[in-house]
Amino acid sequence: MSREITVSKINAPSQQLAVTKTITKLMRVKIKRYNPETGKFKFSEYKVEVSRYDTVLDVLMRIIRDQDHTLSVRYSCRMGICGSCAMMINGKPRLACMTNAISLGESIYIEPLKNFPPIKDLMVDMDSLFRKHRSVKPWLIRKDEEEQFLAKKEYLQKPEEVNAYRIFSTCIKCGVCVAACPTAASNPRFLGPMVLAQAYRWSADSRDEGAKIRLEIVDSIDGVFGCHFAGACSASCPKNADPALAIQYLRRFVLTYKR
Amino acid sequence: MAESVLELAIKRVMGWFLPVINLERVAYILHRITGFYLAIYLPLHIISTHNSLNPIAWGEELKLYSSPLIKAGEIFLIFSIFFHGLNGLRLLLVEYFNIFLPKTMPSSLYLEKILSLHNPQKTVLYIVYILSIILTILGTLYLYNILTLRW
Amino acid sequence: MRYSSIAKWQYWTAIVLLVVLSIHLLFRILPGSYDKSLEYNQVRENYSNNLYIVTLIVLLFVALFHAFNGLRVILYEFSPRLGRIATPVILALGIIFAILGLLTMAGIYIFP
Repeated sequence: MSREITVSKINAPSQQLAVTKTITKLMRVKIKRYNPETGKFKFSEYKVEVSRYDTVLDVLMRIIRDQDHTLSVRYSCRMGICGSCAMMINGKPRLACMTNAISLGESIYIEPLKNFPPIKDLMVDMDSLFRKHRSVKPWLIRKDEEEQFLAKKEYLQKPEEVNAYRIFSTCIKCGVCVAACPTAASNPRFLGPMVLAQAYRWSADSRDEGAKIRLEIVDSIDGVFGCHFAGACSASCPKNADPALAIQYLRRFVLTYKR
Repeated sequence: MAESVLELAIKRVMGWFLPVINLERVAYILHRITGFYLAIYLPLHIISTHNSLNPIAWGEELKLYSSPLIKAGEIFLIFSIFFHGLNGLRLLLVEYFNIFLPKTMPSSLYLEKILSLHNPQKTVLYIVYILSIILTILGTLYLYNILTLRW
Repeated sequence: MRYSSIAKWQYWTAIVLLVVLSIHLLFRILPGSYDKSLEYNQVRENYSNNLYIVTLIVLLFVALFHAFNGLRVILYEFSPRLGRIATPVILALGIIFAILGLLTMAGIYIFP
């Protein structure tokens, strides 16, 4: 059911704004929520008036404001750069703020992000992901530690050296790739595509001298050898950061490293 | 949440399929299934070739091979060998030698085409699928003696 | 250092398997038709070819390593405890089947 609403003209003395028409649709939103007190999932259904340019995050915020203020959702920047609002929308892991709601079809089915333990409603526990991330030391490691803190000049890099890791540095650590990965689904100790891609991003940085430390952490069946190039991570990454490519480069690095 | 071992196993195997399906993921699932099948077949083959020392036992074995269940298993075996071999070759070249991946990375951010999932790696994946199907069909025809070769 | 050395073996045995398995399958299509290649006399005639015997021995060890290592990785990903139990079991099974294969090879020379 769609109806057109028109925004009325503003009769300013010297200018007149054009009339805009927006299409809206009454959509059915079904949310799978986790209840921490009972430890079970339950479904909640809402009917929301969705306009043409609304994102799923807009729809969720409207539900919380108008219909059900007990719904818990994590969000922050609403523009696809913080990575907080990752959830399963119509079966696929996506960022809610970057998904157009009206183009999803008849109804929207939202679940908490897969492969993570849920805390409440649509929020999931990301502790294990960030713990694994810290374990591969995602910072610059250099031998001259004093120079890192009392630097006399900046580190210089050629354009080719920057390009070698630049795409992988656009990762916003949202966890969508971990939700899509088949190995992360069956092996909870697997580091995950995000962590391995970041391990490559820091090891391939020409300013970094700690590649050997990271390679030894990543060298196991729970590390880079748990990846069998299913490519689902790169297919669903919202920033096109291509973690699968980084992991293949990392694998060659691990296999051909001279000790 | 306490779950039985069976529920955990089912959930883990279903995790192989959902939520995103792309061609490389299908290749990963098939590689696992065919690899498992070949790993079960190998010990049985070693046991059965032990009968090649004795002509009577060999004749009995050949009668066993002509049952339709074993024939169906042999057809899947042909597919397994070709798919696992060709896909394994692709994985070896991509993972160990990084052959079909871009050598120099582009300088722009937010690319439209995901590098690792497109050419030339995708072309090789299509070749793997098409070649395995063609070779399986040829192998099945040879299995039923429809296709014979004259040297 | 921990798994990458075994991973290298897995990749190299894969390359060797591609070569050796194609030779093994070649002997299945050389006689001309599937039924003819499975006749008892044909099979014994294959064994008199020395290159084929060497191929079979190499194939035995390489295939057993590649297959059982692959199984071990799948079991480990399901649960590491299962993987730790499975390692000696799979090692034992591998040795048993290698010995069985070698017995077949030896039997060819003892009963010509």
